[in-house]
Amino acid sequence: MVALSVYPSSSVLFGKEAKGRLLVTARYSDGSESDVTQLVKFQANDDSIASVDPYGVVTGLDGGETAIVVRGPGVTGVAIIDVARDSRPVRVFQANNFIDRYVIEKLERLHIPASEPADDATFLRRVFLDIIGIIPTSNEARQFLNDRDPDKRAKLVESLLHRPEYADFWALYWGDHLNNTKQLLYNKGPYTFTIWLNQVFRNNVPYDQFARMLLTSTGNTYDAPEVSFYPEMKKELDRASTTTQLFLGVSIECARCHNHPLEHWTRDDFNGMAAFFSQIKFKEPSGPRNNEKSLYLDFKRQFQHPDTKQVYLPKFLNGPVVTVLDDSTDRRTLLADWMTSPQNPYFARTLVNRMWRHFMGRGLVEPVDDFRATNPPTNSPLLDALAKDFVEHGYDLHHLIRRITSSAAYQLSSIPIEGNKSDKMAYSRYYTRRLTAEQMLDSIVSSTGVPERFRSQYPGTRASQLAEPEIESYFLDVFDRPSRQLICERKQPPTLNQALHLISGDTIQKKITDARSILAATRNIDEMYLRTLSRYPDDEERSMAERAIAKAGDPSRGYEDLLWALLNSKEFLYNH
Amino acid sequence: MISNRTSLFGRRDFLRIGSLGALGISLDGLLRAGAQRDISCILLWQSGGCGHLDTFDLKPDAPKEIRGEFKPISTNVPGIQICEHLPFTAKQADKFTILRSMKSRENNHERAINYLLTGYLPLPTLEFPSVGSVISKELGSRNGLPPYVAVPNTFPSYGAGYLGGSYNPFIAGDPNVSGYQARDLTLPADVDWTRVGNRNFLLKQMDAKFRAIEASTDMAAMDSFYQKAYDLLKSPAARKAFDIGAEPESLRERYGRTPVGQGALLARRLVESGVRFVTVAKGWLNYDTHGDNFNTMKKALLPEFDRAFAGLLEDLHERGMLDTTLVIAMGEFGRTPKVNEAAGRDHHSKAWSIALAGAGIPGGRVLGATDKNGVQVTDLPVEPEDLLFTIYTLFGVDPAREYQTPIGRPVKPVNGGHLIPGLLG
Repeated sequence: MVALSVYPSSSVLFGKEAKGRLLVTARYSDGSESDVTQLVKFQANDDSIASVDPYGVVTGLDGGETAIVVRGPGVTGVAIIDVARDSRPVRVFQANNFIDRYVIEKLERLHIPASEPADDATFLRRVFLDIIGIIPTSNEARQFLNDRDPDKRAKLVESLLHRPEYADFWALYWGDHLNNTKQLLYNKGPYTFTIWLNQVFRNNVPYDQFARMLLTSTGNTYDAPEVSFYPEMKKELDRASTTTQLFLGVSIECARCHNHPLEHWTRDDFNGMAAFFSQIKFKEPSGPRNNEKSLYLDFKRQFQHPDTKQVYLPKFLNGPVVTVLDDSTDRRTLLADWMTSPQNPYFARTLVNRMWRHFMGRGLVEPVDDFRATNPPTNSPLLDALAKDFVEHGYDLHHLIRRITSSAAYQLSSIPIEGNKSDKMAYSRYYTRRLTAEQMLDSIVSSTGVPERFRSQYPGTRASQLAEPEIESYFLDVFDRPSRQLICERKQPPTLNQALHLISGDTIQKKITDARSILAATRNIDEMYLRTLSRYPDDEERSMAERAIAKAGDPSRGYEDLLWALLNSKEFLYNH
Repeated sequence: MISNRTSLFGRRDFLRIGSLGALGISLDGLLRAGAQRDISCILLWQSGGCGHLDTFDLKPDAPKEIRGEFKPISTNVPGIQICEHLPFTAKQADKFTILRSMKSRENNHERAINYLLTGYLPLPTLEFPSVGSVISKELGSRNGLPPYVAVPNTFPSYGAGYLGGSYNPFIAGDPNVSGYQARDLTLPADVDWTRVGNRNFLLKQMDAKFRAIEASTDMAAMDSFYQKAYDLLKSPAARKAFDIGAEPESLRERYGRTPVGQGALLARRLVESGVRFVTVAKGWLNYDTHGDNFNTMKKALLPEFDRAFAGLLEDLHERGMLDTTLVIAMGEFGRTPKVNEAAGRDHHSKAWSIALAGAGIPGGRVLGATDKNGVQVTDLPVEPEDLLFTIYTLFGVDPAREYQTPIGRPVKPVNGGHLIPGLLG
């Protein structure tokens, strides 16, 4: 048996309890085919959406999409099942660009209605947080809200892309993904690497060049900080698995020990990828710079498997073995050429999926580093179109951000309407998420006007400018700052410790009572709303605030309590 | 896909019915007994996977590349031998049961940890709750203390999954640092309860406007944590529970001045005050000794564990708390019998050992067995589902009850499983 094909490869079931049947055909090495529906195993990736019985009969359970994975001996197949809640037409929205056409198509196919467009204040706060990681000042908010220019949203995005905070924010994002920590780079390493990353994003270096610089880096970490990419990965196999996970969205770690049971990655693939990194050698310079790492190449060095001692030649993931090699070729340049070629099936799709997740709250493929045939994208044509557009525009990250943020889908309200409350994958509304630790702390600082002091950092340093996770901050830790030991996406579960810290901890209370606090300069309810929630209060909110302040007796305490409540409100703590 | 495993275990069904039937005990009876006993649990978590051949299942007759460097020593129970680097534990062997026949199907840390702590193999689309979260939900809080506490910290798979974040553990911090206290347990000096009331009145009204979006389980969980935080701030019992400095110096020494030692002691104080489930870990994947296994074990991991585990059992026993406190020492899998070229042992999920004590489990016994090299289980195979089924039963929580996930799907707290035969005597 060499392949399985599933018919139909994609289908829609209307309504819960609707049934459909899958037929599976096997192709054999001699070219013959036969029906093996009764012989294979079926499994629904998301069995809350649809269930499948041993005979391939699929039953719809809830609106949404799931892949049905079919397994035979050594081969797999996949069918996509969309379950629509009902067949009535639904209200969607006007398309702004190609992204919207694919999102609308999906919503219509699933019969999920879209939420209303977001208002200006919501959009303002959202793009600030998503593009530069901070909330707007009260003046920025006033200016935007009063602006009558119909093109003001696009102009705002453009201005954010060129702010210095943009570079800080994306250096932080990539610092997380590139394991930028003192654990691996010693005291100075994270700083030189952060400065380097900062320059990359300030100059909007195309993403393919960024990846190439990291992959092909040589020299000393203090002079060539891009070398910091490598020290975490001690052996060829680590380099192969990290590089594939990060840039190609593929977790081949399982293939370290055995061929992947469900996928076509084999140990040969893994070992072949490892062989691109065999020339890397490290030396630790002596003298005053003895904490530095120095990477050089030993061109003749081959990759020998640590257990079997077998020597492997470089081989592209799921691609050919590289045979033309001489003793003066840096193998990593061959890998970089292959990865960043416009035809590469993984590279651009992985990046656009990461960015889509960042802006939209959920990747088209989840987890973002688990692309595989049996974990297909929820909207495959959209992912393809985003990747194609990204490649055609020279891997320009600014362009990608403009594309996503100018889509009507990104600009939808997060308030659910009847029929889209349970949607988690069709983007019928903006999916809310809690601010990250750094976003939250920086927003508290900006709202109160009182900076946070970090040990051995310049006064005024923001949380998103910190180069390393070792800089002490209980606030950042309790709100899930990652330790950067692993490359994985942040998880942010609510905890009792967080609530306690917001209530009785020394972050908020200290700032609202500080002599430098906004409350010392002005006691104005509009200003407080603008600084925290980026919008004006309505009449009801204004009178509620006035009553509460009056009730407090001492007005300064009343204003403090109002500011405390604003900083603890869901509207403040969430990106919505 | 979730399927009930019950039908796969015909032979063990027979065993279970046989052993329970002989004593005239029904599962219902056990559940009722568990609920009446009102137990707590302290889990000493050996993250990374602890080598069974180097702790509780030594194979002195196996070839050198299997048996490793450690020798067995006798314990205070005739016939039971454990590793020479667990001398304190050896003196408490009459208080715990060694289970030598754990097995699972998962060799990847994250997935295996998830399996052991939730009773399910992980799914990409549904996050299952950890056992501590289920206990929190079922039994709630006592004396205003959080029901589930993680010492020193939480790690992946400790969370509440689909039950919602309000059942996530409270993070205690490292009680081995000098001047330890749990953070933020006192209101700021110039904030009294009247002001707290004023603040919350405002906050409630602000959040009411945002309520349309608040279908999110995370937001609801955060609300419940505010309420729990106020309960905690009002509770003098809570501050006292975390005050490890109130323990006599000699007892602190007995547990060992290490993160795990002081963690186990703090766990005892917490359980004493009303906490239901406490995890104590050294950190993340500390036991993952792919290289230099024997030095790491004998110099760092085992001495720390030995004092903590033995100290805890002795202390609980002396205080008469062992009957109502379930103590479990385990990791997510064992380690390969064959020592690798780096003098390490790799991941091995086909067989490993755990230790269980208290809550009515008789001590001084070995249950289950592995083959001559410790590769496969030869007697009494116990899988993660069975362990969790047993823990829930001891707590009086029906392992077959069903929860609704946020999208309305019924899921049990453990994916099948059976009571571990003979564990309760």
